[in-house]
Amino acid sequence: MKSFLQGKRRSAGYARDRMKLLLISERIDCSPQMMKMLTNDLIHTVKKYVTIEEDQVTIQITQEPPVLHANIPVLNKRDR
Amino acid sequence: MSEVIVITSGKGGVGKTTTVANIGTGLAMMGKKVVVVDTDIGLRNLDVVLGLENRIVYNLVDVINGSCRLRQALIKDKRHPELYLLPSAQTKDKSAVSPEQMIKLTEDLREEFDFILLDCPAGIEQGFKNAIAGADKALVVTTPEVSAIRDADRIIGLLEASDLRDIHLIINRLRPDMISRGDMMSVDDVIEILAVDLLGTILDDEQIVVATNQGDPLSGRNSQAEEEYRNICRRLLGEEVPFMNIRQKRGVFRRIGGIFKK
Repeated sequence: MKSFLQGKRRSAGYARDRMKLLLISERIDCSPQMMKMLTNDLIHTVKKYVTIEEDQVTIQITQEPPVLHANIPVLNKRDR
Repeated sequence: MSEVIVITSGKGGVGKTTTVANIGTGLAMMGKKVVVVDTDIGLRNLDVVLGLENRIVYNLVDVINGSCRLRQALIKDKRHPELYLLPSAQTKDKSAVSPEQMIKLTEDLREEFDFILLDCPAGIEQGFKNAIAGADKALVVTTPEVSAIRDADRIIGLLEASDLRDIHLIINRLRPDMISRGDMMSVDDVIEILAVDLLGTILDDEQIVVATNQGDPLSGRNSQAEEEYRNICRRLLGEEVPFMNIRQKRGVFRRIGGIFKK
C-alpha cells in the first residue's frame, strides 16, 4: 500500500521541481547546460585554493531578487 | 476613480474569458458600472460566454476606425443593468489596432465606467501588447499545470518589462482530490513558483460549464467556483476576504489521507 501511494504522490512534486528549475533558468536566460558549466568552472576555480568535496557542490538561483547561491563544502586538513 | 484591468495568461484555454465574464458580472451585481472589452480581434468569444452574441452591431475595430461612436458599440446586458460589453471584430485582421489606439479607448471608457476589464488574447504578440497598453492592473490566470505555469511566468516577466507591476494571480481549475493525493500542484506550490500575489483560487466546477452553456455567468446556486469569483470581486473592491482552504473543504479526502499516513 505504501509503495503504491508513494508512486502516486510523485507527480505534483515532480512538476513543482521541474518548474522551479526551468523558470529560474528562463528568467535569467541561463540554460540548465550553462548552469552545469558554471558549476564546473566554479569547482575548477575554488579548488586551486582550497580542497573541496567536488561531488557535493550545489548551485542554485533564488528569486526576488535573483541571487546565485553556491554551496561548496570545504575539507578540513585532517579529513584529507 | 476608475480602474482598467487586463486579464491575461499567455496560454490559451485556461479560463481568461470565463474569468472576465464572471468578474464583470460579479462587480456589476455589486453595483459597479462595468464594461468588459474583448480585445481578441478575429476570435471573438466573450459575447457568447455572456449570452450577448445576437445583439452585436458594431465592434471594437469600428470604434477605433471611427466607423461608429463608442456608445453605439456598447451592448447593455439586460440582466445586469450596470454591465456592458464592447465586442471584438470577427473578420478584420489583428494589425487593425495599435497600442496607442487602445490607450485612447481605455481613456474614453474611464469617463463612463468604474471598471474596465480587458479580455486579452492568448499569446505574446500584437494583441497582447494592445491589451496591456492601457491597463493599470493585470490579473494573470493560470491552472496548476506545467504548460500554463510556464506561460504565466513568461507573461509576468513581459508585464514587468512593460512597467505593469500591479500583478495578481488567479489559479483556475483546482481539483482538491488530486491535490490531496499529490497529483496536482497545490495553491502554495504555484505561488512559490510564480512569486506573485494571489487574488483567487477557482475550483474545477461543473457549474462554470453550465453557466457558460447558458450564457449566464454567476447563475448557479451552491457553486464554490462562482462563490470564489464573487470573493475575487470583493477583493478587487478592497475588502479582505479570507481564501478558502482547499484541503479543508474536502474533509473526506483529508481523513482518508490521514489514515494512509498512519
